[in-house]
Amino acid sequence: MQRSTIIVAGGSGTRLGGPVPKQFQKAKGRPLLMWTIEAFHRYDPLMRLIVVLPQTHFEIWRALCMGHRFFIEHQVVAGGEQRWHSVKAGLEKVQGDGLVAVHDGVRPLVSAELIGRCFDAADQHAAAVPVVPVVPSIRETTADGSRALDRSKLLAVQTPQCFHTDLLRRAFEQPYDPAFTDEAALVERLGVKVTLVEGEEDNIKITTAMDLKLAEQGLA
Amino acid sequence: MSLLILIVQSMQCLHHSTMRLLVIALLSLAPHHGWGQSPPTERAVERVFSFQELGRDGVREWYICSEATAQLVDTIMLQNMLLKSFCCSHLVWSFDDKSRISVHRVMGCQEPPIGLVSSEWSNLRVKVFEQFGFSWVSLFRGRVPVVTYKVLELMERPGMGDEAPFIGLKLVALHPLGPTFVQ
Repeated sequence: MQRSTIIVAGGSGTRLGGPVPKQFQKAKGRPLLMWTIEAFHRYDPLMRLIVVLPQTHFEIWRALCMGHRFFIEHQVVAGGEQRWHSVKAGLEKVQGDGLVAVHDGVRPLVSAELIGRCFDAADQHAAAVPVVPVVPSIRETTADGSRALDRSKLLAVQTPQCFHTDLLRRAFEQPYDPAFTDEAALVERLGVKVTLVEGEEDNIKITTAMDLKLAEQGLA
Repeated sequence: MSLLILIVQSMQCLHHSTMRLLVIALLSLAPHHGWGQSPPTERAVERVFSFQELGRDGVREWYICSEATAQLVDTIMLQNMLLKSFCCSHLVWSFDDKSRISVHRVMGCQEPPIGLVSSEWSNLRVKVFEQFGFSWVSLFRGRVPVVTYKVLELMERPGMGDEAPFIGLKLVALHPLGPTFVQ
């Protein structure tokens, strides 16, 4: 079955420090986004890779690819204002049916095993997302303070989120909702059950300088 | 090993071509052994020291940064044309054996105004091999092949006067390289 992956790297977040968007921050000498693209290329060298970047980052990415001699083939499309718009823009470039994954550009530690698990589950159940247990204690704020939540009932959602391509297309035909959180929630609104796949603790979304240090240790 | 000096030809833009061509240029002061029109042998290909890359947009040109570097036997410095204004990519080549060219280090920009391109080294490996009656050139990052070129033809120009003869290879990538930007 044909597989495609949309890698969303539309952020301009600079919480890692400096003026450089986090997807271009370096780990082990290369931008995070290159590690992420390579992870999917390793899983399936023939898979179509679509990277969503802000239009203003195109020339930077072109220079980075040349400077680092990054030759893995991928298509770059311009993202939108919010993640919803960016994923939709990437989805419009996915050809044919089959399976499609949506992945965060700053999750470079995703393993080939996890990618395979998600695609396999989506192939069987139409929609699949990786999850991991929530480790810290969680409290919910209330009108009169806060209350503890039972973390054994909570799960943290990761990417890649995988779907039948036609299902994800139908999900994105729904009108934009500012409350949009992720693709799985959008698919659920169609009444489709999302299958949970065992995620990986290492598959972190790099947001802070500490995350970047952890990624440095985990990248081969 | 023969003393080699590298030159780079001026590039032709391929405005409408969908192919990306990699032209490997070699100028040798050593006695010239013509390759004729037959495919290059591994022994011939192993003498290749530098290359220019023609992209669909015609901008992926590399050239030598300094003449001093070009005089080194197994070290060259190449500059990517797009990055010309602020960046210089450096490749250091050597030969593991008769069938393999190793690119030990690749460096991006040292002082990029945008502060993004790495000044650190990464590793690429180039392997030349023959299969199905053709010569092929593969670039590897670690064990992962990132692109493979098929040798299309040889280019040969006899030396004129003091000018040494030019020998080159024209290669075509099996797949487009790197990013393709969609507006």
